[in-house]
Amino acid sequence: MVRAARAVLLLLAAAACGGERERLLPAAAAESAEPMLRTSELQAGGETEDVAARNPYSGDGVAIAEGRDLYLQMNCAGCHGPNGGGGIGPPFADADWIYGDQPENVVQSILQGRPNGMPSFAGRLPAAHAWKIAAYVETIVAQTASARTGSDAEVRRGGAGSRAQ
Amino acid sequence: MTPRRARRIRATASPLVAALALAVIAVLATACGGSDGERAGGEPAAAPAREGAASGARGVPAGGLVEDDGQWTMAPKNYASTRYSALAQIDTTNVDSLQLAWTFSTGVLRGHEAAPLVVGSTMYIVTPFPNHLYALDLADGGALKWRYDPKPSRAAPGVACCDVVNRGAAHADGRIFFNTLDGQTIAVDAETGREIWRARLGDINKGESITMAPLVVKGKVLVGNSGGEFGVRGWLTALDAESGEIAWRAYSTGPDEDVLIGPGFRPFYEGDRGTDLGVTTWPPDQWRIGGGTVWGWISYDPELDLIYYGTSNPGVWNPALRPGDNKWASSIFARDPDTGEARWAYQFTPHDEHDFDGVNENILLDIPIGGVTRKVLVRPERNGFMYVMDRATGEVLSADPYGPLNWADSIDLRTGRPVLAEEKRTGNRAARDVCPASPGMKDWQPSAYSPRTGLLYLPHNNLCMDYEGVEANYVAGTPYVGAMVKMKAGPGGHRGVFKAWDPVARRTVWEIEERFPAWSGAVVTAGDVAFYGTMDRWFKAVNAVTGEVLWQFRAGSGIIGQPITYRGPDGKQYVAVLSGVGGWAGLAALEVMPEVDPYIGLGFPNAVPDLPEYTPQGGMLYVFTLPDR
Repeated sequence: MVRAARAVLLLLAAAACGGERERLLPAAAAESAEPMLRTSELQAGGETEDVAARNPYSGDGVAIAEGRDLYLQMNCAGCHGPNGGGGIGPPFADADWIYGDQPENVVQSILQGRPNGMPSFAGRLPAAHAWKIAAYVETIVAQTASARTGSDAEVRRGGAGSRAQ
Repeated sequence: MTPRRARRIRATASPLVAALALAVIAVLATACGGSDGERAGGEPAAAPAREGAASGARGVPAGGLVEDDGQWTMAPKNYASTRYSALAQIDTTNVDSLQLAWTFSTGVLRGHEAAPLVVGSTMYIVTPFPNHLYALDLADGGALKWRYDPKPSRAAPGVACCDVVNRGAAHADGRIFFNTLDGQTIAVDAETGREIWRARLGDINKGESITMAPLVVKGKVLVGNSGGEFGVRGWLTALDAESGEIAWRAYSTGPDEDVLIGPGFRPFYEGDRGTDLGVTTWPPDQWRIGGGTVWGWISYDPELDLIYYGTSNPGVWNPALRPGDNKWASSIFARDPDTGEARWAYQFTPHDEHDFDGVNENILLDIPIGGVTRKVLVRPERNGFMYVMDRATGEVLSADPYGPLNWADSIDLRTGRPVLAEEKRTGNRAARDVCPASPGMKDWQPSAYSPRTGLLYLPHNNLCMDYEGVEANYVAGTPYVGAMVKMKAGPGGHRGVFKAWDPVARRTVWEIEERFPAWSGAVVTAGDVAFYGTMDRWFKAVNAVTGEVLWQFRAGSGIIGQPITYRGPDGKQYVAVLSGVGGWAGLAALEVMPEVDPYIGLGFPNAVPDLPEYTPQGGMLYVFTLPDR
């Protein structure tokens, strides 16, 4: 299932991405060894290490600004709040990431959609744009995490698998 | 916010108000002659203290005071939408001994806005999404008779702007009709719970959902869509109750042909006359995503043979993006229920700049105005004005503020248009401290009218807001708003009010301030008790004449449902209400963080960030009655 989803992601990325930078993206994840990215903290057979793709737009001011514009234009803000406080969709500003808090989780959520109301933006949004949005979301999370007391932020750093519903 | 502030009833101390209260009491005697049918059920006649009346001015529900059979077959109780019950076992003298009879968990966490139905010895409740329908046996202490699961699309909550609520079902001819969040209307056999038909009316991929309670009129099930925050084009659809086939559909925007405006259309005001106003009052093609959804209440006058209902805010919220009057958003239609043809329409809020939907309840009354009995509809409108309209012609007879407002100075009765306060206009600018806020003086929460007291009982809001229009981009199936809104408590700091309003004298008689927006429905009875619930978990019984709180019960979760009252198979009077906080007002009790983002939830949670300190989520039905003697 996850493998198939990654294949879709790769195709999308290939279709959408022309430049050098884009080629670094999901490809990096694909080349990584098993195990792959999970969305459950519970691991059958004991814990193994998660390997996620690094978002190369992370910390890139220009890309983050583009991500912010996309966040507003694609109406992400309408459900998750201009500052990630939630609403129709869940907030980003807490530590509770149902489908995982890694950049690749976020990109997958954007492109695939999620079954309880998150629309799929596949076909509407090139993968590179989804990665830029994820880079912007990362800044929202960092801002709110630093504004909050330590405990929540520590939970966040704990890894991809957060509480699933 | 000051937490834990004591509840307080504002004293009706002024001589004028006191005189008015006396007049109201005097009026009771004429109303209590037994013509309201309560005797048919063996109920006691009116209390002797109220005999010896003088003449007074009060309204009678359209169609007169029909006999009350003790059932509750539609959310508004009757076509006139009075939510008045002629049952009087529970009255002002004994309501303080009201006890819990039984409860039922819905198993759903989100906002419970529905009215239970009672038909014969069965109660029916429809839950918020996933819209389970339960039948409970009243002859067996609320035993579960059957459960029907419509299995709506799991994705539907993604297009529900303001929680995944459902406002109730309707009964007619042995069938229960109800709507699902994902845009379906379903008919179920009332006895067996077997599905008879289902009709898919809305498409979540266009942002459409359905939250309203259908109304059945002359063999047609009337259903409207939701989605004014998703660029939906609003409609009301009539389904054949027998087959589920679409009989007619009337759009709220677009060419006259689609709006079912023809030669029989006679609006009262000049500004509502013309050809294809649903197109010409918009920028090109904006009407296609222009809102005007029909998610509120429908009333029906059998004598004039007209249905009345309102339409939501225009889409997009930011008014700078849609110059023009934007017809027929924020409007009311009177239509022929057989054909859907419009007879008249009136736009409460042309070119809405504040999200003032026009979907509130229409209470159909015959009331004395200037010595003449007029057939009116009373509309506690979201924009803060209490409209009294001639329901045959659509003329506005009066429009009075029923709480603090500043977006308009008045309604010009010559043109029907509001006289706007320039500094409170929005668009591509920020307007500060606009009152009321987007949920209005009163949102969907339906009021009740007692022909005994002549008063309307209104649960409502006291909220103001900062509003700024911003860019918006239409992407089907995603929010289409274009406004940054931040709400706050209105004058006085309390955020809700439960109010008794005299529609003849056109003034408040008494009011109770509430900590949170009063987001439940109301019911009033021939025992002169009015019931409503609060988001801080109280279910209250109030003396309908004086406003004194006579009894209250602490529920498990905040109450935003519609209370009802009925006569059980044992002959006793019961009162029932769903608790379960949520809805737009209760979003703050769900998983949101207004403390990091004041603009979430269309700005509402920012006004009630303390709600989680008062209530958790959780759906539960409560049923009350008097102890056996």
